[in-house]
Amino acid sequence: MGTGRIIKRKRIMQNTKAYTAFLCLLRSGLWEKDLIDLALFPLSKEEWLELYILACRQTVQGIVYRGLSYLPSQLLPSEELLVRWMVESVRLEENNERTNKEIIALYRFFISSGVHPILKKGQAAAALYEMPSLRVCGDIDLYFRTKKEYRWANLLMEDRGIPLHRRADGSRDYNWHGIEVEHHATLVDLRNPFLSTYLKRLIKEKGFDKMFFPENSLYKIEVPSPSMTLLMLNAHIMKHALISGIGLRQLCDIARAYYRFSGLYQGEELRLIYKKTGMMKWSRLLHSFLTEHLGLEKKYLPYGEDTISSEKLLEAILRGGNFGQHADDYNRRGRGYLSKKIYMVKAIYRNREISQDCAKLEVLCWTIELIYGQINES
Amino acid sequence: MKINENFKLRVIKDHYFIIDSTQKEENRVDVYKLNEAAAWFWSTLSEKEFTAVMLAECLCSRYGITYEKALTDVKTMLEDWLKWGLAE
Repeated sequence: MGTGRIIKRKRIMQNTKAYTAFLCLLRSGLWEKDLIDLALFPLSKEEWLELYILACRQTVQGIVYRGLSYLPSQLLPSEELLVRWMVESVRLEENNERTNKEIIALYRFFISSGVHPILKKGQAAAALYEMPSLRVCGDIDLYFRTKKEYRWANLLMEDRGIPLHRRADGSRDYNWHGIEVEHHATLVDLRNPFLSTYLKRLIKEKGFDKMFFPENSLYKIEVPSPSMTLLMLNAHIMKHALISGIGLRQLCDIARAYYRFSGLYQGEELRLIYKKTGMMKWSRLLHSFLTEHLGLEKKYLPYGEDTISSEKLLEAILRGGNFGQHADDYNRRGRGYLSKKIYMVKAIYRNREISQDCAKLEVLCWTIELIYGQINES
Repeated sequence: MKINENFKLRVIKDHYFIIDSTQKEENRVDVYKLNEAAAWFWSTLSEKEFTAVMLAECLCSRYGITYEKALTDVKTMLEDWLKWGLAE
């Protein structure tokens, strides 16, 4: 089994043409700019298929689809694959439209019951893209300012006969008209208990903004302020990169957030927040990745720093795909609560090279919380 | 006549397709390939009522062809669109 994993990983890394072309198209779609290297093309039918699969594994097929429009006609993939991609783009648009409608329905329901949720990540991140409808949409994440509001929101759903499930991190999820919704009592995925008071004060101070949702509508919802969005996205990526695995979509989200929020927050202030929360080393790795592999211009980063090699992070991303769902042993993990915990502990060990360098304390806190959560449940 | 809004136009360079967005089956979606003129009509006709005569006049001014030729082409195209449910 071990040998199989090594061969598979080598295969992904060695096929540099399909992979390099994939990143090239991703950058193009992400920033709506011409391709940086047309010499990579044409690709063979097999290479195009590999590129398409890679895009789907990383849930960035919609962004890469946008990148295709920057290729000259003669360098496009076969009509068969092109049509498949176009069909996928229509499905993405529909899913986004449906999710947006359900978000508004949820908001109306909660607000009529005196609860004011904050939309975390997901569709709020999609709004940062030039074409939000082509971002693969996931679940709906709602944050509640107080524990009282959080519990009330959970009760309201249970009152409607909707069963809620407890997640490994303590949040609750349920199915709302076919879409997974998560209720969170925490905004920022940091588990160091010594940061708890600081984060509460910070969230209160920086607060939330209202945005039209969807962009062209007259309906407004609440989202975290730019600096809180950046901290939240960064901590979320760090958690998944160090624990379960992360996909390129989440990295594209923060790249877009840095770009769109440029000038709307104080870079030095964010640097101090990262410093205070022990995220400086990790952020340096993340920022290096964003500039080196996703083409984010350095001027959009919150502060200046020397770049470092981000190859380890790249390898972890390629290994795991979307939230680690494409890691070799993901489908072999047990369905039970304990099996999932064991799988996560193994995943933490697998990503130790990054965590040892960047965020030892945070990983330790996450591991303790996972184990404590198990004891608490049993 | 109106175009069926359930079909979505997709354009990449000189590739024009319309895709039936109502089909939810994983392995079965109706996709129609259009030429540049048909795609141009499709993109400009959204939510508008039109007739063959109107489209033929547009075709004449855009491509500089005779009215008779334009009308024949438009009628053939609209017959196909009606047959396949692309227009109603």
